[in-house]
Amino acid sequence: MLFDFYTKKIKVFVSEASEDISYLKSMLEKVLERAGMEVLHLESSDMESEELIIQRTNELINIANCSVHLLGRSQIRINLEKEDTSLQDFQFIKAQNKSNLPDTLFKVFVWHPESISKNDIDENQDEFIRSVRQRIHQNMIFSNRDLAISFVEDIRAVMFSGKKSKYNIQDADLFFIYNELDDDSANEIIDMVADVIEVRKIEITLSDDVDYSELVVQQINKSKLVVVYYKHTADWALPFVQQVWKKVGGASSNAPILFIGDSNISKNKSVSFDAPKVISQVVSQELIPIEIKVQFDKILE
Amino acid sequence: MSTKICPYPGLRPFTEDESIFFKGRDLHIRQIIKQLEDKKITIITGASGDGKSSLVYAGVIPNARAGFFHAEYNNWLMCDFKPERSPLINLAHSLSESMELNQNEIEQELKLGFSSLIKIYKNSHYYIDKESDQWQNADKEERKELKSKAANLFILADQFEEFFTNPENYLEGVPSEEAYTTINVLLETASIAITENLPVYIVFTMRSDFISQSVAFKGLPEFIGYSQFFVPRLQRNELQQVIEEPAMLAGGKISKRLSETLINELKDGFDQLPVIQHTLSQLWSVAKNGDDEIDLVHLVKLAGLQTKYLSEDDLQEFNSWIKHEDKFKQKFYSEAELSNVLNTHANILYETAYFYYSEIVSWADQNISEEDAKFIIKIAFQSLTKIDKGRAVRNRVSLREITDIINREDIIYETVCGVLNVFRLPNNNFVRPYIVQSDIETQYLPADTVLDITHEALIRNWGLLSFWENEEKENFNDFQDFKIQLQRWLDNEKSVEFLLPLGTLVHFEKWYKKFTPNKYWIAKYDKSFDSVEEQLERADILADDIYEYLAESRQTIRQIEKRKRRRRVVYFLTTLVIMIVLSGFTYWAMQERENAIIQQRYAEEQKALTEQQKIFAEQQRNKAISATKLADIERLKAEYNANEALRAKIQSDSAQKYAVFMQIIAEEQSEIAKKETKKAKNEKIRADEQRTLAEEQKVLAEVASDSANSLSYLALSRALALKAQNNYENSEINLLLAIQAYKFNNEYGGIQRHPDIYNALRYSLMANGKSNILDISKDKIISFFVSGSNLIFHTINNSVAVYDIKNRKIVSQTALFKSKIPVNTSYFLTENILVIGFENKEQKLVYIKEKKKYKLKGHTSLIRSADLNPDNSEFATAGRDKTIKIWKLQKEDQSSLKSIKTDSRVNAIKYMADNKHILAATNNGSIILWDIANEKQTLLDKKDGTRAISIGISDKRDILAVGFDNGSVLIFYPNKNFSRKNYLLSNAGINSIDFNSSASLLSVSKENKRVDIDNMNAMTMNAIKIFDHDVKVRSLLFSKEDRLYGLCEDNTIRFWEKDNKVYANKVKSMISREFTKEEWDLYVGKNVPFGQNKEK
Repeated sequence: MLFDFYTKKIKVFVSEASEDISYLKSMLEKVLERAGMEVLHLESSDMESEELIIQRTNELINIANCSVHLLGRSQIRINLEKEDTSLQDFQFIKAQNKSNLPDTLFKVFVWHPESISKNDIDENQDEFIRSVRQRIHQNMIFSNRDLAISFVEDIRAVMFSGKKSKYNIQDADLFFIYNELDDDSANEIIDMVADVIEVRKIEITLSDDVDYSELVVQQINKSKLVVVYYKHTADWALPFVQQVWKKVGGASSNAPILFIGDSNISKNKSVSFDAPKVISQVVSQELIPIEIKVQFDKILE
Repeated sequence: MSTKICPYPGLRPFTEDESIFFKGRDLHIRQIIKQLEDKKITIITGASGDGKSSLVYAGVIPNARAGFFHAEYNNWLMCDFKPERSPLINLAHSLSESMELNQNEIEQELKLGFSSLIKIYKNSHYYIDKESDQWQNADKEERKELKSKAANLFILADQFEEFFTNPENYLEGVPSEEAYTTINVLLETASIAITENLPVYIVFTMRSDFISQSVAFKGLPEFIGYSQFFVPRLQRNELQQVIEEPAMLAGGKISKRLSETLINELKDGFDQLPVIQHTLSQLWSVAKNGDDEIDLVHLVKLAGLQTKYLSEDDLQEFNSWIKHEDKFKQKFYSEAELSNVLNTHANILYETAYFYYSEIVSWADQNISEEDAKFIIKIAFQSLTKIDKGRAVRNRVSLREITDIINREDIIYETVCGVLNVFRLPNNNFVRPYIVQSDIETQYLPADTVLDITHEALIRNWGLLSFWENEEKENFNDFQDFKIQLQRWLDNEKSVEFLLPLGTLVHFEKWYKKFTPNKYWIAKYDKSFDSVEEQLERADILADDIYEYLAESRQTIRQIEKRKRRRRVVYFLTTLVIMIVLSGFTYWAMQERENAIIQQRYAEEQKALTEQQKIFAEQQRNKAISATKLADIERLKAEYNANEALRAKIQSDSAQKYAVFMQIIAEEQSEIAKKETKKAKNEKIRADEQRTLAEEQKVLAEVASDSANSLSYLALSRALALKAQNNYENSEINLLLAIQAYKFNNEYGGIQRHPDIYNALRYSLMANGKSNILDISKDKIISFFVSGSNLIFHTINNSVAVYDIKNRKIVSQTALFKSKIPVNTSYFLTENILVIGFENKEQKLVYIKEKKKYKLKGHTSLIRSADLNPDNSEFATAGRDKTIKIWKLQKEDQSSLKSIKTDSRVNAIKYMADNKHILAATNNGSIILWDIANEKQTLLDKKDGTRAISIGISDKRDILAVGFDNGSVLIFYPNKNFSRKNYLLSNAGINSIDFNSSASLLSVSKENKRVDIDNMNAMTMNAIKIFDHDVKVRSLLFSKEDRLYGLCEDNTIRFWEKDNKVYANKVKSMISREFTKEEWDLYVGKNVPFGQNKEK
């Protein structure tokens, strides 16, 4: 799948680098630009005063989509007295703070090429690198790629995600999913449940062009309880619930899944999916609405 | 104990059941499904370890079943198979399983190819024909019922490259019938599915390095072009999903810093996914099955990261952990890096397999040692891999086959199974089939269970296995080399000439001793479509041949070594003898000189004595003369006295008595005087005798002095001859020394054909550029003939050339006739007539000048000899087919006039002078005389245990010499009732013999590369022995001028003169000066008077 990397310009803040890797910084910035990204960095005019450095760093990081921090053999000699830290540390901490904000898409890329790590590294810098490695967190990428192009490819891969179809998704208490071959019995259940719970349903019809995998995932994220129902379609239902569970994050998923089958079909008694956030049950057709209500109530509790 | 399921499969691919943990490929799954929806077929290609199988099993198939694949029906018939060694059967088996049909019937149908699979599908209830009455007449419920039973057909040919890697399917570019049919069916099924838009979908997974071989199957390249999906490498964010999300789904957690470290440490190239999946499965295990957050310290514990990356707390944890680990493990941590995790894991299993076996595998034989267990593992893994195009690849092999290759009576297949079990445990998964903890039967496998290494990443990443594989590769390469040599030997009827030479033999013997290939190992590399039984049978024969070839080679080498040793002893002894003789000669010469001096002194003393005796004799004579004179005086005095007495008688009577008395006294005195005279005479005679004796002794002394001088000079002559064969800066010295030796030899009565002088003269000429080597042809010379100053020779490519010996150049060359078959043997009957034997065993009579050839029909094998009869009307041939045949000398194709069969191969034949008899020398040592008219054979002689190899005959055909391979020569005199003399000329075989024109000389060439020229008058006495060359002389020929020519194995022709005189004249013609005084003193000796360098 191809993305248009050149229209939507990613803004990359490139931190200051020590003198031993200044050539690498210059190279990286050119490569980033060729890869369709917009490079943000402190200009020489920004370096006139400590206040100005702090102010411009904050401004640039705020508007950037990600930051790149180059780690060379030594530390940057500029120290910020007000912040009681080096410029290198300051920029890294600022970026890290932004990446730690909830629901942020901001990423921190640390680049310490392997060829540099094999050289003698200044003691303070070594300590700094070790501490950075220990502090790698969710939105942080520590790369040891030697080639600037490889490193920028990684940035691209992380920053660009696939274009996904947008469906008409609405918040729902209950998201009810069934196969078209079970439409009659499914609709009976929905009719009964709909009296007490707000239900959004999806009938999986294979001949449609709908990307059910994406639609379902998007809808699950907006639902409190997901029900996957089956009567004659156990062969479909089990792989379906498994794939859905995987797509929504498994144990870390927000919405629990009630995977429920009609026990009047003997084949269904052996169907089960034991996984975190999945309630797997086979009960008689008549009891299914009740079971759904019970589980929904538990969630509300 | 944690109940969490490990979400990482390790080295094996994800199964469909594990699809919930299969992450990082969502985009690719969607792309493949889209392609299948559009095209019905997708050929998924990629490098080894790129996760092609997982992509289908854990991605495409579960998504299809889940309804994320737009197809006709809800249900899916999943029909997956691996081609392995029988693709059609495997496909039929899978179809029968999924469609619940009879496998045999499906198999028979599929063998028909083309639409057979579609026919099976359409005829089943899984397909709904919407044109059928059943569908047309059905109501909604009935249609729903029909649809609920219907299913889309999904055919997966996993590891499609097995169509190319298994010799049963594809051999040297040619597919087997079964493989060809299978692919025909699959491709035709796809074609029909596309054309008719049937819900049939086909997926192949194939390693991309086999794409080029797809041309062997018609239509396959086109389908690859149409529907290939190349599995992309995972992007950084996708790798992150692969690492982090399965743990999360299973309720565990991987730290972000570990995830980043794993991605950073993952090397580009092969095996990224297997290495990371294996590491993750081990990390899960070491982090208490996911109960602990998986972090850097766990990777360090797996020897996948160096401790320097740990925080202080983690380092402390690691240090306290490692203390309690087995000591043998600690060595694995010195080279800690991600790619080392798999290596360490496999090494630990190797080290602990015996303990697992002895403690857990209770049902197996407990009498094996730890060494045995390690040996089993090594051979098993070597068997589970094989060398293909120079690299190690997986090799599916049964437990029984492994046990067979181990080939030890004390190791049975149950033991092999038990020892290998540790590699099949769920958390290890190195070898298939895996052990399922809940199923005890999976631990105890039947002997025919086929084992398979889970992934080739193990081969590439386990150092020990790489080492074993290198060993296997070397063994295999040696085996291949050996097979080539062996085949040559077999192709040449196990000829001695094709046995292994010493160096090669030692190499292969070492290989054999170390490795000893058995039939099962050999069969492993049998790339044929034949059945296992046939392959084993063939391998068994090959194993026997290998043993026999080595044994034969060793035996022959031993014989050669023995001969060499004997020869070395002989050389040593000869050298010793020569040195002793030389020393003896020197000593003898010195002694002789000393003797001569002594004798001279003695002679001088004798002379002096004689002089003294002469003087004494003179003195005695004078004394005797004086005594005689005295006696005369006394007599005169006595006569006077008698006269006086007589006168006194007259004077006085009384005085008469006195006178008488005085007379008596006088008479007495006269008697005394007479006695004195006689005594004096005797003294004179004695003195004369003594003088004569002294004179004789003087002569004798002079003779003795001369003799001593001669002997001294002969010794000197030999010494000079030997010196002449040294290398000097100025090669003229060689000439001077040789000719001086020749002169002394002649002057002091040495043997005319003295071998040392002969060799000295020859060597001095060679040292001065007068080579006796005629290097005249690039093509192999088969035979030659000498005519005047021309040498005519015949070459392997059937060309005859005339070489001017004097001017040393080829004067003409004639290609006789074109033949693709090389010449094997040829014989000049005359200068213009050749008998040629070709390598295809055909013989022809050829007239050279006319370039006419005539077939000689009859011999069934190569000929070894030919001879023209004395009256030039017939000729005879003889050879390896144990027959002698007589032919008419005519210009026509012909069959033989007569033929006799002998009981052994005939090596040489000669016509007798009477034209009626032929003498034949045979391979069993017999000398047969064949009476042509009566067809009667007479055995003239037989030497058991040796072969009669060659015959020489004098020009008059009155003397024959037969050479044997034990070095003896039998001389026959046909005119004297075949009386014979036997000589042992050598301990080496006599392979060619010839007489000179007068039959006074006999030349022989020997297997030890020497040539002798013997004097027929004194055989074995002072024979000229030529030993300046180191090549064997194949055939000898005296020219009419008595120059000896020899065709040598280095494809040269060399010549030698008959005696010393010829060489001496040549040497003289090259010398322009004589020794200077300084040279003389230096080379000849100060004690030898200078100036004797002139021939007397």
